[in-house]
Amino acid sequence: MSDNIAGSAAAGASGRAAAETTGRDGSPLFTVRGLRAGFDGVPALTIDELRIAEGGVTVLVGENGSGKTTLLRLLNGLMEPWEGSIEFRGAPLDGPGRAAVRAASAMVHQEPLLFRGTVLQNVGYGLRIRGVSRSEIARRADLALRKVGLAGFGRRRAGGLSGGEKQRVALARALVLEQPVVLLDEPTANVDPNSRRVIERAIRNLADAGTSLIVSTHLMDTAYRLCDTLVRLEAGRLSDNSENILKGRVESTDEQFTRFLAIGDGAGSTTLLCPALQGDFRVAVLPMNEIILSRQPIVSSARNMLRGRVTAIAPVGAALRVSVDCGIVLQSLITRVSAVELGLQPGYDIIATFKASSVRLY
Amino acid sequence: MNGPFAKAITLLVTGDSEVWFITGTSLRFALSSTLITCVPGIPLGVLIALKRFRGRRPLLAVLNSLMALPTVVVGLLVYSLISRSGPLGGLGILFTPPAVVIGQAILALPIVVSMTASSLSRLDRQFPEVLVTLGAGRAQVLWMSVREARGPVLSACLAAFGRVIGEVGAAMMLGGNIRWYTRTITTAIALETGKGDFELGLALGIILMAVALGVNALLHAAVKHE
Repeated sequence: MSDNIAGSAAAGASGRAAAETTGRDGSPLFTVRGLRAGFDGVPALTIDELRIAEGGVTVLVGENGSGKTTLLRLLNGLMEPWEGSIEFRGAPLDGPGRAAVRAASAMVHQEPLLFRGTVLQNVGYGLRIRGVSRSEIARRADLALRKVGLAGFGRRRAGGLSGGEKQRVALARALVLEQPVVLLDEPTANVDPNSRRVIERAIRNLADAGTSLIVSTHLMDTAYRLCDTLVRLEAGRLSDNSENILKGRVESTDEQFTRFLAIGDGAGSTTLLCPALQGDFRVAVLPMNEIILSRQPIVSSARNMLRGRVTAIAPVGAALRVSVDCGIVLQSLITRVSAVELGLQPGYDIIATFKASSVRLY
Repeated sequence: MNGPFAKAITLLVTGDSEVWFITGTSLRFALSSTLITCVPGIPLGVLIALKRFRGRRPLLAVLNSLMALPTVVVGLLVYSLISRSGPLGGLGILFTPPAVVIGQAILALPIVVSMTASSLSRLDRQFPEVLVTLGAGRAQVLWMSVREARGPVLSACLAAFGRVIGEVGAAMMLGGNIRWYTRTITTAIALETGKGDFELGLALGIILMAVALGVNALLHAAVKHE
């Protein structure tokens, strides 16, 4: 534990603001304001304000019926809100934005809904109606099928594929268009584990190549593995993230612990001790309510103890969310009483403590 | 019984020219009216299936009941329009093949529209959306939807064909059962039976049955293919 404190002692004074859940810097891809939408008079989604940033993977996460699909359909102009506005790169969707979002985006529905015919006919459809030549279609379809691990599937009948393969063909059918914006509705629900890995890798590769992706899922592990930004939906409303989602990589694993180098939004980084796990991990998830804040180092069984500085305090319901810069910015959820007793204020030096087993790696 | 039946077989086997002419006329009328109906009927059915608009359900209910439209009522309706004193009397098409085809097309239209609509409504509601998100325009959505449901759509056309080839009311009232001109299998059977000439009636009846069975077999194959 002492090396954790030492490792982060130099950081903590940067005073960086708390990471916004709505995204990074840059012009928003989508801006949603005062939105209300639903079906047949039954409301499904209410969002006061949401900005989705250009670039990276924005994951919409929530239970079935939380409004994820509705939000995707609204963003793509497939349905219209009852109230409020949606802008795509600053252009309203009830105006020029609709044509703009259609021209720039591709979407994959939760159900693959393949057409009759071969895999190649499916994947090539979007290109065919754009008047692309037959040989070019074959070339690009082949490339897209490779990206989803279905090289050589072009001549197969679409109807004879497994569920996971169908979903991957549906993904390839959208990817082949090489659109700068891709919307995916539950791409990894109802598919086999292998298809899921392939789909997740394809999504990450696309994001790394500069595509902006918005992905809905009810699977938390998919959400954590994919997300650059997490947007949580609960019963048709945005809800607060209750976890710290930290990017980084595994430095070493021994019998007892994995050392995970968490990298912050800025230049800061720190090493977290996690349960010993095998595999590649890029995200550490840490529940906010499992981080203990204290003035002095505490002697306990917790293996992670990071020294930092309070950068922001924001109310979340009855509790307070305290942002602590310890090289990486951690957020802790504490009661108002605790905050008063600790005399917490921005700029205050503090120690954040949590158990190795509180950290989940994805 | 043995007499007329044997005669009917003889007529069929020897290729009696009038029998075959009548059969040809029936097929020509039924095929024309079915094809003419499908041109607006299939797209109309697709639109009703895919679009959500006010009055859609009542429209479907009306179409469904029109599928059982009495043929003589259609005959009467078209007759009143195209008879010399009617609003379209100037066309002079009463008791000509076009008159029969018009009457039969009116009979076939609700069948084609309604069955197309119901077969496409079984497509996933998101199917057109998938096409739109891939960049398809209106016409492409329509075409791909029909392509996707082509078995049931084909069976809608065959059902319409089966209805018009077997109907007698419109053909009789609008065609006039004129020999070597507008006489169809059904009007001929009615006439010959009335005259007591069972042989010809029976021969034609056998042909009509064969056509009906053939259409049914095709229909079955089309649906089974789904």
